[in-house]
Amino acid sequence: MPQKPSYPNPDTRLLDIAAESRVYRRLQTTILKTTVKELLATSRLRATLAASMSLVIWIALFFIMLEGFMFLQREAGAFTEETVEKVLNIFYASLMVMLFFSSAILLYGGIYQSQEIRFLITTPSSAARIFQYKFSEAVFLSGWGFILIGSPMLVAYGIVVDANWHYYLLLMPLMVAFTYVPTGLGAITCLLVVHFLTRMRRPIVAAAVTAVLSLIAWSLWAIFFSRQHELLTPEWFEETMIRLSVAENRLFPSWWLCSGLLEAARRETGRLDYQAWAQAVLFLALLVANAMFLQMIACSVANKFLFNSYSRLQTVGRRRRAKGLSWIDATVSHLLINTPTAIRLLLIKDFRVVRRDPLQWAQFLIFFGLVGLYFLNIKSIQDAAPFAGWVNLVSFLNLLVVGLILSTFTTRFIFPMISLEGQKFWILGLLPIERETILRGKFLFAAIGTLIPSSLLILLSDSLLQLPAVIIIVHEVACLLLCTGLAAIAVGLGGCIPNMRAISPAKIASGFGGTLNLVLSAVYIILIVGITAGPCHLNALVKLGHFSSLFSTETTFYGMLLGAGIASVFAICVIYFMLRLGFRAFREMEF
Amino acid sequence: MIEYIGVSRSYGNRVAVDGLDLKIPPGELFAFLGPNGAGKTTTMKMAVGLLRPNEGVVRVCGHDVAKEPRAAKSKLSYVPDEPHLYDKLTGREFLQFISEMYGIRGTQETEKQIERFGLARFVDELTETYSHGMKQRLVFASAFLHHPEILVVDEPMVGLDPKSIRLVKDLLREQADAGTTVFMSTHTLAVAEEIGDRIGIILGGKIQFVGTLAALKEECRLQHSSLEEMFLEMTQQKEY
Repeated sequence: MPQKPSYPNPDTRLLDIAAESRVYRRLQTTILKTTVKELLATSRLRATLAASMSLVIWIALFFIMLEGFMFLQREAGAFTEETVEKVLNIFYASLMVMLFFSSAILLYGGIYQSQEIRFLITTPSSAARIFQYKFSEAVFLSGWGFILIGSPMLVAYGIVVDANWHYYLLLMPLMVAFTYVPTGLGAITCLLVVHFLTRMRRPIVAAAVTAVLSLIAWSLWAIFFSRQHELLTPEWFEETMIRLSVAENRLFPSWWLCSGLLEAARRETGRLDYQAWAQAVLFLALLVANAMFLQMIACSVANKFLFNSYSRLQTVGRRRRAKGLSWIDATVSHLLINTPTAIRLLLIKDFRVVRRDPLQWAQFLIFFGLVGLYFLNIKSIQDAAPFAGWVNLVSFLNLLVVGLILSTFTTRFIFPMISLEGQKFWILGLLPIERETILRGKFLFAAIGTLIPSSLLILLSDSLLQLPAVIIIVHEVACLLLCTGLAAIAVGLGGCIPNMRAISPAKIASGFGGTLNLVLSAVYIILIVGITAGPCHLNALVKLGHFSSLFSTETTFYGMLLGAGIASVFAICVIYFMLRLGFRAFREMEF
Repeated sequence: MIEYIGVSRSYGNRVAVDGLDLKIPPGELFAFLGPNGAGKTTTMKMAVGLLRPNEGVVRVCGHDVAKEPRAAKSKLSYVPDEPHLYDKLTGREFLQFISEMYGIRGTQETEKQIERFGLARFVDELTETYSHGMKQRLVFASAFLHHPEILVVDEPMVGLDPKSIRLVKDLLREQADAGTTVFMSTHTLAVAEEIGDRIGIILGGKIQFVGTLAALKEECRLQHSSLEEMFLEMTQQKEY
């Protein structure tokens, strides 16, 4: 290996800003190229699935928005522009808040929790350059989602108002410039909070998230529950718009974006309105100037505080855990008193691991929290639905939504668990327990962990929709089948195709096995919900007087039970088959 | 040269390094010893700019690491116990990135280090496919690209086979002989005994001893003992 150095020292120098920037750009480009090349060579299924899902979401949003704007044009007439302005302002103000939080969280993870930064800090890179490198990643990561969600609405608006090509030309620059503003603010906040309030950073984030969620809850409450007028009437719409006019504050970058867009789309009897066009360019300049200004401030803050704040964060004292079982673990242990000891211990261990990793349960909590908020507002459908059959349909769509959220949870958290356990197999593998017990523990953990919140949510949705008891029972059975089936798919596939090399659960979930798990889970959900929903819906229609010449209510009632029975048999087969597959593979696996 | 002048660093209420005064001159291989949690890694991290002292100053080649971080870091190289490599870069791309970061023009230096560390066989493969030994070679090659005046090495022997350990020992000794300041932490006392010019023992954040092996023997009054026996004697007497 090493021979005695016999050559002169190389010419080294500290790089200037431009040269440093070029080095980092080359690094990013090389990593991106290799990742894309590898993705296309080894994970075509995942790449195609991601691209087609993004396209489907874009097209779906586009048509929903197109229909919405056409409805407004038809119904609101002269008020269309005013209404659209309000809708756009509310939409982009919400996205602005989301961008602010997402960029702050991304930068916190990217700068203060990453191995890469630990390495880069030891090189002669300037703090501002390291920050900019991570900032550009944060802009890209939060920006693509923003453009995916935000652009269909704007394209649909352009079509409805017959905007000329200048509008479409300005769309992207306006959106990109806007993305930098909340992202820059999020970055500055992140740097300052970590530097000045190192110990308080978690309570601050918790308080900020609580404040935003409370604001959302208050808005929904104000719109749907404390309203003065009937739901979905022009008066109600006007009342709602007045309540949400806070989003039209002229100091908000979202207002600059919306105003720029509206001005760019303005036409004067079929011709281009040059004054409006100039106004649009002015708003673009305003956004660009603010984006650049904020980035400059962020770089100065990084130069001044980044290295110091990194050091402060690394040296915050560690919290000592209490000895023995905490009350929450003791409660779980008490509830599982009748399960075999080995499985109980495995379940408590998994529960502890998940509980102490807020990244895991917070996502689940946010998803289910949002669904819960939506369910709380579902009573308005019961009140306003012009056709009673819709209520039944909506109840099954709710079941489908819960199922799809569950499938992302089992793919993201349960499927990788087996691989992660395999990497530390010397711990469990040497214990005097059968290998199957480990998988049984995971299956029970996933099934029980998902069943409790899902069945409660479904019960909430069904109660608010005032569904009959028999339908609620069918839904709860379907929920049980979904939770156990999805847990079995994740555990079975996790045992069959583990990824022992990746350390990050996110990486394991996004590989081939994770993608397959997601696809199989989606197929399973559609089949279970389809088999149980079809007869139930028919029963509801017959009760309302439809198809009564073909079916009696009694026949459809038995059909409903039969549907639930077929779904149960199908689910039991899937659970048995998937677990058996996983058990066998796990038993024979060499570590 | 590395200088620690009255340096202290705490983690919350726990003092990790307490009033450290230490000077390591050019051309010296300084072996830094101490039990787990004694403050070795914290001391090293302050020299490379990862941590800042609560009190005192750390100077690298005359530059205060807290006030002139770039000038200080341009003079040193750090090989941590768990080095970071970019999974999606090849070894050559990684070396080129580091080389450009230090403002070295062309690929000549990269090629020299590839040859010197015998990386040619795998240097064009992605680093995610490397074994521990291959990664360690690449990290050492990248550390020597700009011919640092100071080399900070944290636990360099962990996970290496006997042949690689021999090679790393020779490499560090050669560097010190060529004028580089080598600041090495290790738990392998035999390595410190074999290649270290001076030995430093830290315990509970305080330096217990700095000097040559002969001076340590003198201090412990154990003329015929090994470094291991003296180390255990010293750290057990003052167990924290």
